[in-house]
Amino acid sequence: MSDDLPEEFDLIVVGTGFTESCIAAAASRIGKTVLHIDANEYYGDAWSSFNLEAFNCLLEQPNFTLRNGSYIWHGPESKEENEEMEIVSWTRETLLEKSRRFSLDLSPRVAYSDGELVKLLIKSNICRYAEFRAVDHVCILSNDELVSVPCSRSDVFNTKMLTMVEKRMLMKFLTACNDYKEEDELSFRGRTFLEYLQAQRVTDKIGTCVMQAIAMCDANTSFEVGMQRTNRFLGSLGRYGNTPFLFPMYGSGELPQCFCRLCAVFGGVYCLKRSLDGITQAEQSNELLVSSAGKTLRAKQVVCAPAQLPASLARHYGELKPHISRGLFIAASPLGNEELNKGGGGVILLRLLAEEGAREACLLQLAHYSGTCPEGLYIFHLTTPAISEDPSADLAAFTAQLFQANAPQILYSAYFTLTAQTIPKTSTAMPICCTAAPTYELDYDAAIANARDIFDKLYGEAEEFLPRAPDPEEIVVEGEDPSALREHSLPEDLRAQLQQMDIAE
Amino acid sequence: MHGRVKVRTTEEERERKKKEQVLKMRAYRAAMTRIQIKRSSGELDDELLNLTVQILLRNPDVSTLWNIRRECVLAKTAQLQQAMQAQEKAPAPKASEQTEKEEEEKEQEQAKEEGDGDKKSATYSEQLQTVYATELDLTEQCLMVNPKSYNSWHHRCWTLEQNPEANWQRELQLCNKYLKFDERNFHTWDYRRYVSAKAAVPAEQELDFCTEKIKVNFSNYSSWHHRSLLLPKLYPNELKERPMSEQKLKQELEMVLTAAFTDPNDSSAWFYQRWLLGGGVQREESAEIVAFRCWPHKAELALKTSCPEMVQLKIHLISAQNSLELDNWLPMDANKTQWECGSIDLHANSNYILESDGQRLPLSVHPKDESLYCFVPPHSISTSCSKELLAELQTQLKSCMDLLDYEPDSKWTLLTSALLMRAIDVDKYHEQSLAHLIKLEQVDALRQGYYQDLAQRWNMEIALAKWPETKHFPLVFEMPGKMKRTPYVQYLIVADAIIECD
Amino acid sequence: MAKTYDYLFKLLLIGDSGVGKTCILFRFSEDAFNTTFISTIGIDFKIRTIELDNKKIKLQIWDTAGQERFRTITTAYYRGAMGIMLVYDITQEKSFENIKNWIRNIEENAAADVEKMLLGNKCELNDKRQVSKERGEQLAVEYGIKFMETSAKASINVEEAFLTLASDIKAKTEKRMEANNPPKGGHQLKLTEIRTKDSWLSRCSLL
Repeated sequence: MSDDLPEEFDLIVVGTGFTESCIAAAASRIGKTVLHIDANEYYGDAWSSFNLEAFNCLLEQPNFTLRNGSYIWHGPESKEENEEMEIVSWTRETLLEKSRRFSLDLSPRVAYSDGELVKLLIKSNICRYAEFRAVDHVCILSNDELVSVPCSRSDVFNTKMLTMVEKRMLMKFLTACNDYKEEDELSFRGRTFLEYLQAQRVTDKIGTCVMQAIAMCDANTSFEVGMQRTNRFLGSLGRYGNTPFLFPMYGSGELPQCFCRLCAVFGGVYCLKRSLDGITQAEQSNELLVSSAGKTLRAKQVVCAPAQLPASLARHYGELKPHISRGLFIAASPLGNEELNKGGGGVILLRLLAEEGAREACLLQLAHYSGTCPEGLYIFHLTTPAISEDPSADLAAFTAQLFQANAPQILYSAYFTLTAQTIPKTSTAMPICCTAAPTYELDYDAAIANARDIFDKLYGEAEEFLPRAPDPEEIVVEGEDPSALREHSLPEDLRAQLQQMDIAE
Repeated sequence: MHGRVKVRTTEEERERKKKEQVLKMRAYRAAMTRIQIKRSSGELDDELLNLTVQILLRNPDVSTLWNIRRECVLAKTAQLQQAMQAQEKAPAPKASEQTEKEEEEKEQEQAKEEGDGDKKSATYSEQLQTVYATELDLTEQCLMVNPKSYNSWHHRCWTLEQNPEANWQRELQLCNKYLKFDERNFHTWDYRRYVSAKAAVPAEQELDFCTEKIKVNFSNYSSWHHRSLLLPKLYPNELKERPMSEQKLKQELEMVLTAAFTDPNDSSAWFYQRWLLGGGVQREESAEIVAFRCWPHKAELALKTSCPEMVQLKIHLISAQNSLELDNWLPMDANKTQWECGSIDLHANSNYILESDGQRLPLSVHPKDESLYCFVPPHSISTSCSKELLAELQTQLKSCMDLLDYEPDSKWTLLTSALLMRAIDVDKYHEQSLAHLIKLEQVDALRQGYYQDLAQRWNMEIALAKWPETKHFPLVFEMPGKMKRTPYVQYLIVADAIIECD
Repeated sequence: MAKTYDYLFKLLLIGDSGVGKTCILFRFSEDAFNTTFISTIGIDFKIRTIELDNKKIKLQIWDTAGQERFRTITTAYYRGAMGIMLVYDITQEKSFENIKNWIRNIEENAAADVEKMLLGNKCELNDKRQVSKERGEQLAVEYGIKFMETSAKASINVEEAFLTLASDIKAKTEKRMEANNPPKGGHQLKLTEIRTKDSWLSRCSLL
């Protein structure tokens, strides 16, 4: 491959994680020349997805973003080994044979159907690069059982978990929240959401549904925040599926790539396996001189993922600390009953609490319809804010709740820690902008806000952040008369008709 | 390279659209002209068919073009059928005075020809199927453009009716597809009923399908309606007093109340519930006599509901000695609920029974003029129901009252609880159900008149029901309050005097 | 909500830089040839609706957006693709040799049952030919796929190639539908699906 890379760019973006890709796309979209590189040979950095083999390799070789990796096979190694035992269809061998059918996320996320991510994808037309599956169930744990929280009106109608009067109570509560305006309910200002809920005379069952799954609150969450979250949930209902959430088909690792594709379509240049080796200020100009793979490139600006900073700069950003503890399990049977996994199962979201609600974790169960694993298998992603260097210890309180009573047939389990630097307030002395590592959040709000901030800092707020990309038929090809109607842009049937007429005449 | 994409301005885009519109107009005009010329000269051929496709795909509601297509299809199929018949009749050439060898050869040839003949007729019937398939494809494409196109749905039905080998299962799949697309499209529901009858889909299966659709979204008049047509057939009510068997009715009431509780502001569920609480459908289909009075030369008859086809009703007066048919009935009111018969000759002093269409009513002697009469007050029978159903109705009433605790102004709950009360015990709950109507007049002022009318009906019903026990019966009827328009007025033909309230 | 086609097929163009992928795309979708297309940014796919056996088929044909240059085609590009045109330049030996790499790439990232077709483009430049037609045919046989030599410039075989690929995909799709095996897939987000605030309460209600 000849390296005929241009040497001058408006912007060089280092790292192809979600936030960096967002910025690269936005810059390219307003006509900036962009070079987007990544030290890894894959897209996505800490936001990437891997097939099973590649995932194992990654766990064996810690890097800046990922450490404390470990994995264990629970099933038999191969068929021969368990001849006396009952028939076991999945073995280590068969799993590895299907390695490519897996798409294992480092940072799995869901998106609110009316949340920041979905709005951004639609507004920018990036949505044409992605497909989503509506999350099938939002669950709570009730007596160690996974129970689906009725989200939509038809869920409330069909659920057997609530009595007729409870159905009315829940619907009434949700409708009241939906109609809530800030000027109403002054009496709950400064109090907690839990107090408000209790004042509505709802039963315990409804209280649990609302606190754990709908408002996603704890006992201390303020009334305003609880109300805001409830409305975020309600506002996202009835758009694509039965729950307010969407999961990207083939895994969350697809999303950064969608932004990269847009960047490329508008002229961005891509190179993987290429790191940022050093950076200096050019003399007599504001340009930066970037050294990468033995070449020096010139750029007006540079944006970099913290984990891809050259060592000389990384020290300015503090120490790498455990940030998120992750567990990943592959099982031959799902969590939850038949009803929750109808037709082979889909995507299930469950928020877990431990230590009296002081700690929380998020479980995402994926069946093959999500495009992330072979048919007949299930992936459980567990995510919690890290409190130690031992991810499995951090998650023990949650796995105990999940796996003891339900005992799914786990074939493989893996743990790892995602790190982040303790970045001081972005120092203005630094010649480059650094993005933030993935945080513990359900959706992408923080990451998008981070990208938008950096974009505004680079290009000012006057430039629109990811305006709508025109559809191909709207674009005027160079040299074309923009108001001319070419025969080929007519509908096929009209074209055929006109041709026929010409023949007849 | 400047780097920013060049996009057409709205002005440029408008100009392009205009140009396209001009071309479309030109094409449309040309096609229409050509179609008219061909039709008037009777050229019902493939070209004509193709010309209509171009227009119909853009606008599926040009009825004339569908008519032309039908003419073309009929012409084509007639041709093909003729060709098929001609082939069947074609006589095999007879050979005579030939050597054996020649004979043999001839036979072989003939066999070959016959084989060809089979092949040909197969292709004729294949051609016939292609003609129908083209129409089905076209309507399907048109329905993608407009899923509520009356013309396309109708043409589809017509095509299927023409084809003795129509594939009804495929049509059922089509319904599934379109109902997935829009579960409330009543065109599709109508079509589904037509198709499922043709395909002889078991009613159970249809009911399951319908239940699934309601589970997805119960705000759907069409699916509730579909249910109301299936249930009386699947679970008939022996006594015909309820729409369906009491066992099933219980389940339906529970389901619909769940829907109503989930969203009391959705009216579709409440409407279905009212139907469930109403009387049996079958009974309403035939005329039911509620009052009768007969003098030696004249008779008057009152029916529960309007009956325009009185001729079909055979009415007899039967005594031990003879049977007398009463006919030549003339309507006495615009509603056609009261009828008069002036051509009879009745010998009094006999015990007569009035008989009509399964009804047998003993007649009494009127104290005023010794005429004969009978009187069946409203609700005299339907108050009886099984213990299980009664228990369900009471549970439902309790749930409604609980809900009213929460939401005292919920319109549908107020009305339904009143209806439930009346279904349980008209007499006992009379005052309370009227109180609900008064409350409804306040919370739903738009329908004040409706509630007042309903209150008058209920008052009248109870007054009529109690009338036979009063001492003035059947001479005098006392109106239960001021009426704008008297409901059940036909019941009063047996009375001699009516006392109005002030 | 009107849908004006029976099938929607997503097709990809894959091959080295400079083999004429974009020109093939424009020849098929616009019946035009102009080298300035290549420098036109912002176009990542083109649409053309064709008709096969009375069925309207919308072909959405995606271009690589230059990401083939440094072998950085995103895995997301392959998702949901039902057909792939593998393109080489008959005047560039290297582009033909690279087809094997691209096929490996496809096997790693695209669905296992994706329809593939091999195109040797620029066949109007016979005097500069480096890859014989026989070698192209042989490679296609090796992978069990169809092959054609095309010229976007002289408009040779481009239309035929797409119609062939589309009709193979259509046959496969219909076979799968007959087996009652609906294609899996997720939602594509669309602007039109945005509804009002109370959408989750959508109900029948009389005034």
